[in-house]
Amino acid sequence: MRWILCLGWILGLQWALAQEKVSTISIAFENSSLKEVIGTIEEVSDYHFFYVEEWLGDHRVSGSYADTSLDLVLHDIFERTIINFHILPGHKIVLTRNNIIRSDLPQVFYGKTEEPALGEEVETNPVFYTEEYNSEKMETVRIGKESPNTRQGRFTLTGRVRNIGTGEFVSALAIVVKDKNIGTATDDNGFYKIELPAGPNLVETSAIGIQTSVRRVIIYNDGVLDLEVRESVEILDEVVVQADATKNVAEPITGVAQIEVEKIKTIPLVLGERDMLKVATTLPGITTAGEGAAGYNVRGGRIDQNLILLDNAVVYNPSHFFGIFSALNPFTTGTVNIYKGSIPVEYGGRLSSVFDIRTKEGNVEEFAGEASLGPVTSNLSLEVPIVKGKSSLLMGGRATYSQWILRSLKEESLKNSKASFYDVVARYDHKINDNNAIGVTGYFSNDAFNITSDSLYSYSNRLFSLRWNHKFSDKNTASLLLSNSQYRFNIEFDGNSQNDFDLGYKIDETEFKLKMRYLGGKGHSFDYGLSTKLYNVNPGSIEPLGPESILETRRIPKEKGLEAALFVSDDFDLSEKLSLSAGLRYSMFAALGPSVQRIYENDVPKTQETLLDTRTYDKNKVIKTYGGPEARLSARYYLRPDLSVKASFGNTFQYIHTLSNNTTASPTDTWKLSDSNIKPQRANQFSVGLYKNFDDNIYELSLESYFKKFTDIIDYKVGADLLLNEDIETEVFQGEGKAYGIELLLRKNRGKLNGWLGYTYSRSLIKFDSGFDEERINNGEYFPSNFDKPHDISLVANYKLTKRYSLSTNFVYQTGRPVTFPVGRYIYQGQNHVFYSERNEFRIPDYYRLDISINIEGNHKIKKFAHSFWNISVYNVLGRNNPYSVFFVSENGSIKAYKSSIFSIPVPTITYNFKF
Amino acid sequence: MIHQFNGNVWRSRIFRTVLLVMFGGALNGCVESFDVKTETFEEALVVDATITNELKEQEIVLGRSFLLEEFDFVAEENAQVRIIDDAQNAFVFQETTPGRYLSTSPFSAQTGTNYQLLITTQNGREYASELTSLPPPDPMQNLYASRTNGDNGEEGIAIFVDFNAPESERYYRYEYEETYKIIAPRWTGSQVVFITPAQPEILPAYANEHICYNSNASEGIIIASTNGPAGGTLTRFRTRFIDREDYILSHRYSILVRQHVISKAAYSHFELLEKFSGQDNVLSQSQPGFFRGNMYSIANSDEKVLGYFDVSSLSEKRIFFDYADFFPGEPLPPYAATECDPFVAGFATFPTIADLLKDNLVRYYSTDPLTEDISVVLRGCADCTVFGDPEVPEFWID
Repeated sequence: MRWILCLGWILGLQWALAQEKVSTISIAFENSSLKEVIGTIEEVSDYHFFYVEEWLGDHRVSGSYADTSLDLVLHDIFERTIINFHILPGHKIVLTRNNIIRSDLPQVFYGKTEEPALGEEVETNPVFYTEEYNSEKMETVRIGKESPNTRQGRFTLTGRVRNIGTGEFVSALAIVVKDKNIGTATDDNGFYKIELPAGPNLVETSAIGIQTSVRRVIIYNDGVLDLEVRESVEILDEVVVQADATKNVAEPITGVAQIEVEKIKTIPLVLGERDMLKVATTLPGITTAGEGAAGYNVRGGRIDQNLILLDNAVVYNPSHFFGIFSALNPFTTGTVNIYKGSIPVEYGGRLSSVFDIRTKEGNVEEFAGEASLGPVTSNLSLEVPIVKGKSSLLMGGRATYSQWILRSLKEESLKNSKASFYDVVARYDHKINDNNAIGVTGYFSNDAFNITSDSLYSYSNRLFSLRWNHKFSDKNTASLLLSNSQYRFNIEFDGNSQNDFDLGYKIDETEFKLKMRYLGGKGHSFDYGLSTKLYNVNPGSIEPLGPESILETRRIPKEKGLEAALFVSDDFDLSEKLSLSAGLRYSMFAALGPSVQRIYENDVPKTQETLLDTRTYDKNKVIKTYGGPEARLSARYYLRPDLSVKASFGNTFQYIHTLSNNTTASPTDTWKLSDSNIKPQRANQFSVGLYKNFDDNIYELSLESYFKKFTDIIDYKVGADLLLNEDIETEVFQGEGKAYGIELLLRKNRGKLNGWLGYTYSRSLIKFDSGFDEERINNGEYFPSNFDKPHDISLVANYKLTKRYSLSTNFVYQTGRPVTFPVGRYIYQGQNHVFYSERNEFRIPDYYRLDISINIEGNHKIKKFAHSFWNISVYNVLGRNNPYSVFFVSENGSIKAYKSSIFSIPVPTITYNFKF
Repeated sequence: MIHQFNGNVWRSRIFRTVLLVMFGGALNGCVESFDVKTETFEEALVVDATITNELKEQEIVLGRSFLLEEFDFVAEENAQVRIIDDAQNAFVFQETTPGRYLSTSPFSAQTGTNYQLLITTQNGREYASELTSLPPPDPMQNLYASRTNGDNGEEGIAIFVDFNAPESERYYRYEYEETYKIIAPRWTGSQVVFITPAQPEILPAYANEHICYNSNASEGIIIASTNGPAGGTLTRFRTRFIDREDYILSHRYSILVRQHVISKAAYSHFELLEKFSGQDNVLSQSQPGFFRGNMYSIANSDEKVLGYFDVSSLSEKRIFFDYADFFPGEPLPPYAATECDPFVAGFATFPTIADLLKDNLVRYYSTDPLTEDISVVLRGCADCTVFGDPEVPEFWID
């Protein structure tokens, strides 16, 4: 009831601007709740409090005061809370959450007198008013005195920003003028300087861990405005970093998608696994070959054309369980940036995209953790400060209990089987001093299957990365990066038969990278550096298992290669409207010995018959080098302040290829380095787009179109054996491809209803032509690739019903992917066989799916031990039986057709998460 | 590469893994079969031609492709078929039964000669094979049976071939014909004849229903090569595996294994055929596609022609063994007919014994000396001709 009173009272309030003289009180309390203290104060004085009880939380205070000003007492009581108090005439004390009700302008004003324009110096929103900047007020400040002589368009505002909670000055706080593309950040000492156009400006401040706030600054002249900001009070709630609201329009590069992991937590889940990469596939230009398929196709590129980085180290197979789950822990991941158009100059070596996945930095102030319980896995992450304020350790682990599920099944054949996966990640950050910081990340993921009693199948990713950031001066910074990644798989077949074997594959790479940044004058920002990467591939060995086995040990010789690059780029503004990002990367690759290279006749298919000679190379002798310049150019031009046009061109080289003759990815696909017989793949991409923000950057609209040309992409002869094949070049041929498309994305970033709607029209076509029949597919014409899905619609929407309840939905529609179908049957040597159409002549039926979830936040009591979050999802609500693949099997002389689907009925899931 | 070891061994394991997990409910995906319907039917000529170095009337089978939902062989009739060699000798083939063409005179393929198959179909289209030659003869080394375990751990008898190729690369295709003795377990050599329903008379009969022989030809593609993990020598290559529970092992068994030495190209073709008729992995289907053999259309090189023209060096070996050689004193496998217990039949039972005999469903087994009840057994238990032929094959050695 009290808050209703409070509400009515505030609405009708006529502010009295002068603060009355405050009386003194004597009071003592020990470990009391705020409510008790307030009660005591009300008893011992004639003051009366107005507040919402819920706000007080479980916070407990102690203190003893004698004849102390009430002002001071209240200050102490509420110091460590989010409550502000205001003493009003008539012995009334109003408590508000977050807001400070000011009765006068801050003292910090630069000596000038402020003339209240309409007697309304302070504008407050009712404290319970909830909207995007909820529990914030919009404060209006006026700077300077309007001088009739000033005709200047812009004035300089300077000031210093302090954190009210800690009293410290806040560095790296973004200060952005909404809708005007003006922005700055505070320096290390919390100072800032920004030029504002005369008149009203909406100045927004934001930084990690700081509440975003907006002030209306009406500027008449140069002036000073010191700001006070708060830590994000509800550390429990997600920290939405409004890094730069105008990024969509302002950034001079095309084809970038960002996923903030905290923002996707409400998206419906399949089997309870929150998955950033799966969310990525709801953005235009990023698809998978099918539900549950491993790997991503970005703008018509094959799955091996993505550079997937976790804290700068490559993850070769970021999936668990054949691609149904992603292998990256969602709790330890901060952001995922996907570059599908302009790829930053520091990255290279893959044709189509870079997935730059960053783990979170651990909390350096206090211990925190997060855990989830889902039907398939449990997940725990911990953030441990090591040296308070300086270093922290972040650890995350996830494991499945499918093992337990399998064991509890009645089916005898499944009881003794095994299907498990886990992944662990750890990151340590240490800030040595203001100029030096180091960080280390380690990651390991593993999958193992053993369902039939005679085979064990496993694969694992391992990576390690080290970074050292150094600041030479305000203008010169450097990062030194060292990383190592390894991917391996192993198949053990032990069926007590003569074919028992143990088969293994391993790839290992180590990269060293130095990147430097120089902030030149006039808005130039130079990035430059170099990187080298050493690959060691162990393409496999097979060993007989047990004495019965008739197989003999066979090893495919190791491969070694060195990739190196030099890069430089400059981002600068040519004019107020035109901004450029121009970069050049020179990459090269050397295939290294020891090796035996086979030399074939020129211009004929490589076969045993056309083999001319073999040449032996000693250790570290260069077998073959490839390389070339890679351009990374893009530009942005403002048509209007909130409307821009951008264009970009980039070319890329790729020296490492997956060998896969499956229609979709399999964990046993191997990676092969370029050598004297396999050339690097190359691509050129042009893109152009229009970008517009609406309504205070609440809505972002982008329309982007691209054309991409591939050269020397790899394909295989029908039925090629790629595993353990020593002369793989006889099964491989190289051709060309083209991909083009138009991508439309509408995002609503804030508000009760938020989410995005994307539509993509795209084609991905490949062509393998040759004078020789065996190296030609579909008569040498362009034909659709396995992941050519022209129409793709994705909707991701989240509706906040109340502060605690929200409703989310996904809808996906895609054209069915191309398949090769049998077109007839025949009898040969007494057996029935089918024969197939030309490659990818048909399509499987269109794919669509609707998912719904309800999310329930635990209540927001501040000092509650843990903050909980429930997600109840139903995946595939419509129960659409989306075919994943269609295949044909000869069984006892007759042909059976099968279609497989992964999730053919609605899949309900409940997941429980809590943070502490 | 030994043919059993190709990607499919483990790929099919993975397939099963996933399939089982999904059926098991850990995921609720599913694999369901559906009726095949040809979306776009493509008609193609099918050439099944293997000539060997054996002097005989060589045979070539010509057929056509048919709809996926159909099963029966479609013959290519009235074609003109001939094989020409380097010396322009032509061997002409004549159609004997629909689609089946025999050379008008016996001939054998010779080493060092190239052969080309030429076909003109009745609609006037012309087809030719690539030039194909006879691989060097390489007689089969060793053929033997051995008691061992099968792929799923079951016990049984495997028929192994050893070969030892002097050169590094040899490719083989195997065919076999197995013949086995069948002894009807409830055979009595007697029959019951009813003069009146009350007056049964037992007479000797059915002498030729006691012991029979039956033969089966191999199905599917059995190929091996020395270009694999085992190098130039291959011991214990398994051409056939018989579960010890299989009744064909019960008494005496014989197998004739024919070894074709084939070209690498033919081997690759058979390997592909096999690959695309095997099981596939649900989650990553291996890329299927059309692959041609060595036949092509002269007028239109894009026309699909199926099958293969193969020239092979043939050698063969036969072995015999008894069940007791490998399982002495152990119980025989169950007989082909599973229900062999005698049962009483008379005129009061339904159907009556007369009906059972008239419909040739049972054989007389015994008469109870006390009650004079007549017992019969199902015919298969006493009549081996249900499963074979009483005539002793020419090659049979007891």
